[in-house]
Amino acid sequence: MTEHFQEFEDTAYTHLRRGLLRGKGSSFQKKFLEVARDDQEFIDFMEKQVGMKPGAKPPLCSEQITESTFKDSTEDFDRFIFELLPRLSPRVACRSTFWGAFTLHHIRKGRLHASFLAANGGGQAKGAERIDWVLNGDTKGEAKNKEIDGCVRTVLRRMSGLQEARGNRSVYSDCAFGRAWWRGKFAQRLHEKRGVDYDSVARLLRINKSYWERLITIIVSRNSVVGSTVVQDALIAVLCDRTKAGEKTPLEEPGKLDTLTRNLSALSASRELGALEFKELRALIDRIANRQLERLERLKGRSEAEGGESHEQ
Amino acid sequence: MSGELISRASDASDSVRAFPWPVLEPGNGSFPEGEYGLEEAKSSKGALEITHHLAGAPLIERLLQEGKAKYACVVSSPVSSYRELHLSPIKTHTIEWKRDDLGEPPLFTPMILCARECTLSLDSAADGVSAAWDGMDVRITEGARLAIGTVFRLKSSLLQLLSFREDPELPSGTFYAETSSEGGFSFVVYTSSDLLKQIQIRSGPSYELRRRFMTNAVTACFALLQRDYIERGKDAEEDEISQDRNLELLMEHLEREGLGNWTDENFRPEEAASKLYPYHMLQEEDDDD
Repeated sequence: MTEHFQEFEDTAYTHLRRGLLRGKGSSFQKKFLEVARDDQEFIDFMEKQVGMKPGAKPPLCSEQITESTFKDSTEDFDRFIFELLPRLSPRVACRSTFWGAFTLHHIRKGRLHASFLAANGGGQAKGAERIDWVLNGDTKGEAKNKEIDGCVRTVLRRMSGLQEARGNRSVYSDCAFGRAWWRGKFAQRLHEKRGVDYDSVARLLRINKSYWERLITIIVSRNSVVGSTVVQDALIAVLCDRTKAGEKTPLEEPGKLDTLTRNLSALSASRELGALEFKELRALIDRIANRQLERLERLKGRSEAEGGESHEQ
Repeated sequence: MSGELISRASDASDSVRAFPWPVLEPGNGSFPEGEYGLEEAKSSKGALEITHHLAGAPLIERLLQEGKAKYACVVSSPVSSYRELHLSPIKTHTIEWKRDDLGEPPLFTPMILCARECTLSLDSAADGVSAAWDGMDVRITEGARLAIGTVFRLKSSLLQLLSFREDPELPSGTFYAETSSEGGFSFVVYTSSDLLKQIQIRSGPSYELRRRFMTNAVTACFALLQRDYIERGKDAEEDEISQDRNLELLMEHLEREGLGNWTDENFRPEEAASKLYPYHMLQEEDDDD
């Protein structure tokens, strides 16, 4: 049975996001970052600005989440978040109102700090440091406004996704909890429905942020060629076959993934790929991948013979 | 919903595509007399019964009769990564979906697909194809699109994107408008309790109140579009209007109705709203001298 959880009130949250995006470096943006520095102030601010639609309180992570896990989650974290919400429907899981409320709930219960939302990925500054720098640092004028605006957008993206600026993919690729859940969901589905090894899928989807973002963009875009579940599954299964732990293969590079999906797109211009069975699709995509890799080898061989570097489009 | 979902090969199209076999779609001359679309679409909760319409394409009709082609409809909700193909050997069929899979009102794309790979020698007289295909041998693969219909959504006109909610804290007779982006773009107009009751009455003196209210409410909605939805992204992925099917359909609807485009400099929300909901003029009294 699908559970009905609390979510932000949709028009109020839309209004808040719109207001925050309206002016780079505005006093409203500065206020937002100031409150994000303190958990209770952030909670009070959000509760005042955005109401909550009725529903059950969502489940809570049992332990404190570190800033580095929140920024760049682990395979275990992805699986954990998915298993915390195993019956969450896709209808709800694509909504920023749900994930925003889920994130705020975790801040309220002390599982993470509001300042984590401002942290950029990788080895860059922690969220609190970034807020302090952006508000009190030496930069001036337009550059300062841009920094403030960038930081506000990071907070919104990390908290719930920001469709206004980043389209459908934002909940899947920017929102920390949303991203973890959807990765867990894809891994679970491929494993249960298609017999693909869970860990292989989990590893593939976490090659790097850019890879996941490329994959999810082609899945959720309006004119997607891999919108059908069976095509998504076949593509991911082929990529899993060809990307193995400990071995570096070309299809792990986001650019090579783009080429593969472009070739798939060319095919789907005339054929409805969702009409084919999973096995046929897997074989078809495998053939396309083979041709791509053979071409790469030929280009590499040619450029080695010519003593130069090869470039793949 | 019927006639507007049937398109003809002779209809204009923004893009013309070349396929290795004849395809019936607007702007594609492969079937010069061809028509394809839906002659009927009846919706109920979580289901849509559709009846395909095909004419002027004997080749496709024959492939359907021989079981080498099937009627199809794609149901999609990109925002929740949902897209499912429904196939049918007969022209009237019901397609169903689960509400929990959809993050937005679904989009429907009717089509006719090749069900089994086949090789054909084309003849313009027998097949209804253009003379350019005469005598050509074509191999049509499983899943090949033979006819492509108009993409549609059940909800796209302005009224269907507008909902009303009570805000008990509003003073008598007042309202404000907001936008919502969850589940696809929509407008939500919040009114005082007494105003909400009155605008739901569609007869008597309240009817006039409703009409005047709609002019003002729609003006407010268009003003929100002009304030917040004016920027176009540098590409389709970052263009909010392209990303949201409701917004895109609303834009097309307004342009079709001659109401302009809110991203234009000259667009006036009140003018567009009052064209949709004009004030009823009072009868002028005759002068008695």
